[in-house]
Amino acid sequence: MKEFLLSNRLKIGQEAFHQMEEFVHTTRLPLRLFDRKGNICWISNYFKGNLNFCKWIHAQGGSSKPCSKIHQEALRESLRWGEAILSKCCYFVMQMVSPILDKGQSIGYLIASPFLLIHPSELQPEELLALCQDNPTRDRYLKKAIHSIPVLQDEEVKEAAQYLFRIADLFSNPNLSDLLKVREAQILQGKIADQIRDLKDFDRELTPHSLSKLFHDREKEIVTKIRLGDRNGAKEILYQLLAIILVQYLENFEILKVSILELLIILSRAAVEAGAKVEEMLGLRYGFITELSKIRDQEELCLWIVKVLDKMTEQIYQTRNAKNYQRLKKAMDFIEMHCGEPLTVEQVAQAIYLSPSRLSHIIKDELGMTLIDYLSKKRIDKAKALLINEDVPIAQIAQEVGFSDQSYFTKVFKKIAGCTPRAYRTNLFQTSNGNLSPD
Amino acid sequence: MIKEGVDLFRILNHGLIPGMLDASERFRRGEFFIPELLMSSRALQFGLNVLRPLIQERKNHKIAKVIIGTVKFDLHDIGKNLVTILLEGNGFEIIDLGVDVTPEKFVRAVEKHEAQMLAMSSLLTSTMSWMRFTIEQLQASGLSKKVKTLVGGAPVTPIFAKNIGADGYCREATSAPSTIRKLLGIDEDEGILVKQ
Repeated sequence: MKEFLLSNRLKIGQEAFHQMEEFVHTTRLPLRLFDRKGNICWISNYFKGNLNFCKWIHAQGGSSKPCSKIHQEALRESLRWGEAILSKCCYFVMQMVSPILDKGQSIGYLIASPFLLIHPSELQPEELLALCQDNPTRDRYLKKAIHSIPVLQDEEVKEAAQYLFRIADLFSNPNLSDLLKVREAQILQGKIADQIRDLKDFDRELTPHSLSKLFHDREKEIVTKIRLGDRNGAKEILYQLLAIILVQYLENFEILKVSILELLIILSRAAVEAGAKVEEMLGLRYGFITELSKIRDQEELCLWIVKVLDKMTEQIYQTRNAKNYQRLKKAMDFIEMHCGEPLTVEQVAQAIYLSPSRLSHIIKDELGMTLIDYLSKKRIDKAKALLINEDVPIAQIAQEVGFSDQSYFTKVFKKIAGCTPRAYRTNLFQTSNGNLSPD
Repeated sequence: MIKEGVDLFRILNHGLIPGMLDASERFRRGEFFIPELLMSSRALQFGLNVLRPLIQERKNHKIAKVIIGTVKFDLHDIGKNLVTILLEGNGFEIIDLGVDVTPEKFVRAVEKHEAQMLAMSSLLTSTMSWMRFTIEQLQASGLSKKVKTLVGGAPVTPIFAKNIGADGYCREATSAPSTIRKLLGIDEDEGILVKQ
């Protein structure tokens, strides 16, 4: 098989042909490879047969726009979104496009089309009529042509789009990482926009006062999340913080930068509290500040601070004894699942393949309390949640959170929560309803 | 439904549009993927194809001309399309410039069509500044006295709208018709397709 020259710099070789054949085989989609100028370099078997939809459409004089133009438009979109793009190619027929890049420049593209998202039988008569330009004699050929188009389910479309992008990535030099960066930025901007929308729902006025109060609340929350090692939770709150900052300073880049710097300090302080080494954090922070000074636009700024958070949480994990942390996590998961049963240290230890004494040590080191204390705390937390429901007798709650003896439950509850379960429940209803007689 | 005498405006505002709003909300939450969204908009288009001639039949005149589009570099047009449909149903004449519209293109369209209203949407914080640039261009061209501006989109806030000198701001697509009426001083009933 001969090699194709897509540009002076890039050749598509044997392996590539194999990849494209494989794509067609797995997805059932017809595939074409074009160079930068829109010249066909490779086509799958679908286009070699006589009965193909594109051929039929051309025989009819084509759709209102030439295919090459539709392809180019889709290609532009794809470059902008940083992923394989799904769009209509003509009438109800779909196409899927992914660009091929060489050092950031588009040198060609892959198009998987035609395909349908609905079965031809579901098409409305008016849609079909539009296709044969109101000439019923063409109808017969049309049906055949349409039935030659593969119909894909939603899931298949998703998978095929990812697959197409992967092939384009293979053909690209060095790969499509630049494009992925575009996509990353788009996704982040979308998330921030969503947060701003929620912010508008939450507080219609958005006064500087209410925003700064909200900012401080979220700041505390993110510190807690970082300390707990809750990476995704921390990220979610970071988006909210970014939304609050952007609502106020979107058009003032210098202030925006200062706010992000402030955020950086908050994050690094939280990281140190969570156990990252102070000296290392200082070094990291110095590097970050140098990076920050080079950033020129808002989009980049947002992406950057999210990366900073990633690096910092990474640092925390490295510092914490990673192996111990894994085991601790397993132990905590096990306790979470079984704390309604009467549990012993031995049982937990056995479940995670450790000796009871080793487990006790790890828990003491990492959490600063004994396993029994931790277990009690978990049980009482659960009990508190159950106490909200007035109809459940306290004896039953004691059973449900793993205490066989109610008086022992009351004793432990009092030690941890500071009051008896009954008083806790009464208090709960007094504060929420304002007027409730003690039972 | 039309045969049964259900009001067209009701079909539009209580049937087609809430359905589309729901679909776009699910898309936002990641429950819907592009195929589902395309299906919904296809259903909507079918519905509109039925309604449109009837709406035009009943209406004597268009109450105002509105230019609409998403700003430069912004490709999210679900919200904009919904606004377009709502406004059409409310008797406005719409000139839809589509997505990724430059300030120059907006200004040219205002001039050419002698529109009373310019509506812009942006779904990304990074493209919002293009609303300001468009309004600035409009002012520079001397057209700003003849046309009012309206902005909207998830990240757009009332403060921002005020800062950039927009005449109006919409929280959600459904409030667009009444906001535009208010801005242009058009009577509430005018142009609305009242029940026969």
